[in-house]
Amino acid sequence: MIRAALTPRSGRTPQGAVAVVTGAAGAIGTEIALALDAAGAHLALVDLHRDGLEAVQARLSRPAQLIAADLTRAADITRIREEVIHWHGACHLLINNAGVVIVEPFEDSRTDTIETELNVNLLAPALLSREFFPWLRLGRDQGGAWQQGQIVTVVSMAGIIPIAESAVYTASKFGLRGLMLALAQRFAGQGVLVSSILPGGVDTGMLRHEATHGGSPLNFLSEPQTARQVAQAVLASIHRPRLERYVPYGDGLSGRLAMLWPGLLPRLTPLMNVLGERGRQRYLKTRGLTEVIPHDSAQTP
Amino acid sequence: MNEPTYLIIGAGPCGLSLARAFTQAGLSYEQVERHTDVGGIWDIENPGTPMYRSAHFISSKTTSAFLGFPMPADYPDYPTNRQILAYLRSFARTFGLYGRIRFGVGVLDVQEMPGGWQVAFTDGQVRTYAGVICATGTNWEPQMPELPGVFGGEVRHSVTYTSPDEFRGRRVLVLGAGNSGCDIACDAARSADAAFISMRRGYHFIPKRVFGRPADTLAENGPHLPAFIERPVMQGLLRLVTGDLTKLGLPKPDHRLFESHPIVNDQLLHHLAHGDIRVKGDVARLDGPDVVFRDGTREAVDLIICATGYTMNIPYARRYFEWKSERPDLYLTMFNRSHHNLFGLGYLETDGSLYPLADWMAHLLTQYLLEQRAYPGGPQPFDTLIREDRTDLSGGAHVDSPRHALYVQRRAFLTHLRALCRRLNWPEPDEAALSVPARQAVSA
Ligand SMILES: Cc1cc2nc3c(=O)[nH]c(=O)nc-3n(C[C@H](O)[C@H](O)[C@H](O)COP(=O)(O)OP(=O)(O)OC[C@H]3O[C@@H](n4cnc5c(N)ncnc54)[C@H](O)[C@@H]3O)c2cc1C
Repeated sequence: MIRAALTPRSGRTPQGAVAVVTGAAGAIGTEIALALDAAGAHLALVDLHRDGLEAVQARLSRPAQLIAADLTRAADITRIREEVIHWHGACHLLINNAGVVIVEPFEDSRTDTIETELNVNLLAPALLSREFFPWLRLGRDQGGAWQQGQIVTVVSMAGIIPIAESAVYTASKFGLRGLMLALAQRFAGQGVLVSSILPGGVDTGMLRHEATHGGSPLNFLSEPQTARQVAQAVLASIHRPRLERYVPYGDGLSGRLAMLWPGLLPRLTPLMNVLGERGRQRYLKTRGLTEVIPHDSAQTP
Repeated sequence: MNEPTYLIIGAGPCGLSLARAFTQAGLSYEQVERHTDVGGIWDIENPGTPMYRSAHFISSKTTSAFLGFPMPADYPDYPTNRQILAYLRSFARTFGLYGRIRFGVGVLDVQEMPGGWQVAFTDGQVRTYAGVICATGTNWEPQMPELPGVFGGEVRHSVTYTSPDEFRGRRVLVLGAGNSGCDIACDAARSADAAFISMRRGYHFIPKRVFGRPADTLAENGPHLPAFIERPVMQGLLRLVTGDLTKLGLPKPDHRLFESHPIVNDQLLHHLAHGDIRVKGDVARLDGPDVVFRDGTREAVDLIICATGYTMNIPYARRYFEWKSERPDLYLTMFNRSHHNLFGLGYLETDGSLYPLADWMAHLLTQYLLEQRAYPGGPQPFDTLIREDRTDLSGGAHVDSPRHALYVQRRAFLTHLRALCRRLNWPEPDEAALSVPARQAVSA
């Protein structure tokens, strides 16, 4: 509440802006949609299935545009742009939130699951950013003040710290972080802001699945964040644009510090895994979850 | 599929500017002109033109030329209407625009169709186009004031005026002190038995030349100061140059400088000083041989010329435009907000020369049509601006008069167009490229 009081009233707000949110039916996407809706944005919500989107719509104050689309298909991505522009005539905010993690040992992975992870996590944000860029750069007039268009991308701490259990996921998020850092530079002179949110473990269905199916203990180094906290970081990035925001802040700090000498990581990892494993057990207990077959036990010390 | 073809209606300065832009961009177009030649109102033979023998350009030749096509060096600072006509024709010849114009054919009606526009011509033909650009000018439908009472003399609109010979031996009253009102009043001052000019309000008069240069080149090339500095400086300068105009019988302006179109004329001041013409206030009524003014005075008059301006109209497509105080409300004075690919060019009032602005607008329109290829069937980023952008182009506050309802300040307009090019990643008009004449071969 103190936060709210300190927020400058004159600053950027999503009030009246057209915002596209991918992965909107997921836990984080839903919270982002709710937060943007409360802030007065016009929404275009994208997810794989319409029923998930309708569940989100039921919680919004105004009708949103619901777009069922498969982000692994380039044709769907063009269609998203066409439908959004056809419906709203504009796009001021692109929230690249959709992401997938497929928990399987890399050695046994299939080509198509690797492709799916890379396509959803890395290629789709790239294509969407390209499709919407001509509209984002138009910006908009907000009550007489000029407001630039913006891309906000939910990356992941896996964009900074490699996760052995999710090698392809790591690759996709490293790529995504690099893409956004590069676009931030590239678009700076062209009137479009680019921001990334890098959350650690977030308490979503995805994380529960990881917790019970042998995902990385690193997700549990610090107490998992709520989807709401991530959504708040997205809103904060719209109000006060910043290149990157870490949720929680400390994870970003330690993660970047550790990556100064990636060679030391193998030595740090056992320790971090021990700490993370404690966190994971705590998480399982507090959520009343039980472990399914830990088929990747070889890697757990 | 066939290449989309567009129709340009009118071959006045604006239609010609657009034809050059389309030609150079390789867009496929047709053009019709109901008169027998190009030039618009500047052709005194064009039936219905408001042009008169003594008319000169009000903006100076240096600021008024089409981009990349300067007016001849031997032209005076303020060319005559005949010189402007010759300039326009040489423009059309140089850029090979004549070949594509159908002369003597007017547009009767325009009809929106799925994916295009159907146009009916005066020669009975009906053709369909991907888009239509109306460039038929704003000076064709005279606006007459209500003059109560009975009058023994003659009342005419200035559109019918051509030559000072009409004034010989007559007592003439000119209504309205716009730029043509002042011109015509000066003709009357020299030729009529008695001459009066009636003005409703006071205006600022700007001499055509200051410091030995055309006044508008000063505004164009001088430092761009904020209005709150520029206004007092210019107002002070004007007082030095023209002195207190109320001494000549002119009413004191009821607005600050640049808040309304200033009158660029020093001849009227000359004739006022010599008593060849007298300033009167608003007309109250007509009374037999006399005109009675608001202040109770009366003058015997036998010819009233109403230089009271024109109503903008696009008669053949009127229903597709939104009219605000008799002006079509268009984005950037050009893009129809609710009817796709129906455009207007030249439907604006501005504080300077029109032709370079016309070239800028023609350029934007060309870019827009070129970009439609990149978004077949769908909206493009510019469509978002057509819907959303409400930037004020008037450059600040203006007197509340219908004339300034859709006033465009040249400097504010150009600044905005430049910003749009940046936001859209469109090039700015390239003067060097624009100056290259058409190749002869492509006359087929
Ligand atoms: C006295 C006077 C002084 C001016 N001085 C200046 C100046 O100093 N500087 C400046 O920049 N501007 C000046 N102007 C503004 C003037 O309006 C422009 O110079 C210019 O003529 C406008 O060009 P246009 O092409 O829009 O219209 P127009 O010149 O009116 O041309 C329109 C053309 O369309 C044709 N047409 C009309 N209806 C149809 C139809 N249904 N079908 C086919 N063809 C049709 C007409 O025959 C005409 O040829 C002055 C205007 C006046 C009246």
